[in-house]
Amino acid sequence: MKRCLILIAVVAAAMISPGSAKALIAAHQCNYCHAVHGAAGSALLNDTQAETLCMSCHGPAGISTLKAEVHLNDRNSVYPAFRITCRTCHDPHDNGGNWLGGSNIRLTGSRQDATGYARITTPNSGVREVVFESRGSTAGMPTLHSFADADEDANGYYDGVCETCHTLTKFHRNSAAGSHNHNTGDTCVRCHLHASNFVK
Amino acid sequence: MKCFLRQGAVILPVLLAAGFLFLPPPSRAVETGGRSPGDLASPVRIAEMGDLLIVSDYREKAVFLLNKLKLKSVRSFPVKGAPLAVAYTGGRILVGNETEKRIEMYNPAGNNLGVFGGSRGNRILARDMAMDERSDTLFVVDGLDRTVKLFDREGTLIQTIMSRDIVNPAGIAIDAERSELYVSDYGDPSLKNPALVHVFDYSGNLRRALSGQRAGFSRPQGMSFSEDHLFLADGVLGKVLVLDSSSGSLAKTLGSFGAEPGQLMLPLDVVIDRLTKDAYVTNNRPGRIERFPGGGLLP
Repeated sequence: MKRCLILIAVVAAAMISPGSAKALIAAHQCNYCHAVHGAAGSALLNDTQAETLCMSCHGPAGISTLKAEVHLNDRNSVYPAFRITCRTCHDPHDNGGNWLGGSNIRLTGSRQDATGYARITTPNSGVREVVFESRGSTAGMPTLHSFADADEDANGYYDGVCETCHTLTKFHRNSAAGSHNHNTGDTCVRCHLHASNFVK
Repeated sequence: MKCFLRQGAVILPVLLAAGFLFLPPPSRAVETGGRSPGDLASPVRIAEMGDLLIVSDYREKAVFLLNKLKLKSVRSFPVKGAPLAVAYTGGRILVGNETEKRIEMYNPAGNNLGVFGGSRGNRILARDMAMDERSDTLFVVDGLDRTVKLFDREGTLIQTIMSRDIVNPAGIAIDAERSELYVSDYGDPSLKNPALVHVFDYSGNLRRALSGQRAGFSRPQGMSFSEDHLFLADGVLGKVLVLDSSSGSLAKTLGSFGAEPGQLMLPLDVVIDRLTKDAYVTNNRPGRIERFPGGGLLP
């Protein structure tokens, strides 16, 4: 009984503390990932790490229809190999609000400071804002605030979920450099599938 | 006497050290393989074909044939789509193509022999397969309608096992002796359906269920049946759980979570060699096959 009360207090504290889950999406109920009773690891998780947990549903042979893989560079790339894993771009707990006042989709970005804005710790550009409110025009959606909108809102900040990291790509970097005309109006993941490591 | 003792104090350690030099090296408890350039990247399901292992690779979009002893790729062949389930029967390798939603047939050289069940085949998301050679029946977990489908050797649909108990099926194994069918099921926590392994007879009657809460699994994946025990890969735990097939109680585990040899990160399937009782596990995140020598033996 005493242990149960302590557990309830811990869960309640986690729910109301800053930086924790506030509004879970329907597909990510607490007990999908957290074992309230008898978890072997910390944070009520079993002894595992985030990528394995995500991939157990979204990876090969997982039950989710939304298939995903970590972000690798192309085998033929001239740049060193990298491996961007789930939590770099996603917060499994909720869709964060972004710095432009909107709300991101697909659990993109995570709150990294008191502002509460969805941000991404990029490989070589520090912590950057991320705005991802639309998947782009192939689904009849606006291109503004999509994967890479080429600064369509003209605020001088390239904050799409794909472009906010990229500095070495030929297209859609996080600055005005390079070309921003590559397949504009299309959805990046139509060719660069999430399930195929974002490699074409 | 003192001299003897003094000499002994010197000679004994020298002899012991020399003895250690001539001792055979300790046998490796676990061996790892299948990882080299152009080799496995994302192994999923595994099946036996004599001295070879058949492994589907989700990222490479290929099926690999690996030497059991060396755990090295002997050859591979491409699949137009993402391969999941694999099985070997009648000289043919059957491959569940997730992208095309069908089962394809290949010969061991990798030549495509067409679609299982004829030119049109059956629209099916084959997450896992198990072949019972005695009854000439192929059992397939279909992720599309969350059923188990039974086919004859030619690919004709014999029966569909539909059950309200099946929520999110993943893997399948058979106990041919008892004509029992094991179906691993993630369940759905939001619907208060816990992870289970359902046990059906071949007619689709539910006989019992092995509880994930009791045995400690939550993401039950591929399975293998051996020595009256069920070998179950759990994607999150990084372990293969060995369960008593009747009671569901945990008899032992193989592996632990991690990336070192013998450790598992997202294990997705297991097969037990009938002769050697070695256990082979698809270790997805590190992209390799893990062998546990004698892992199929029970205490």
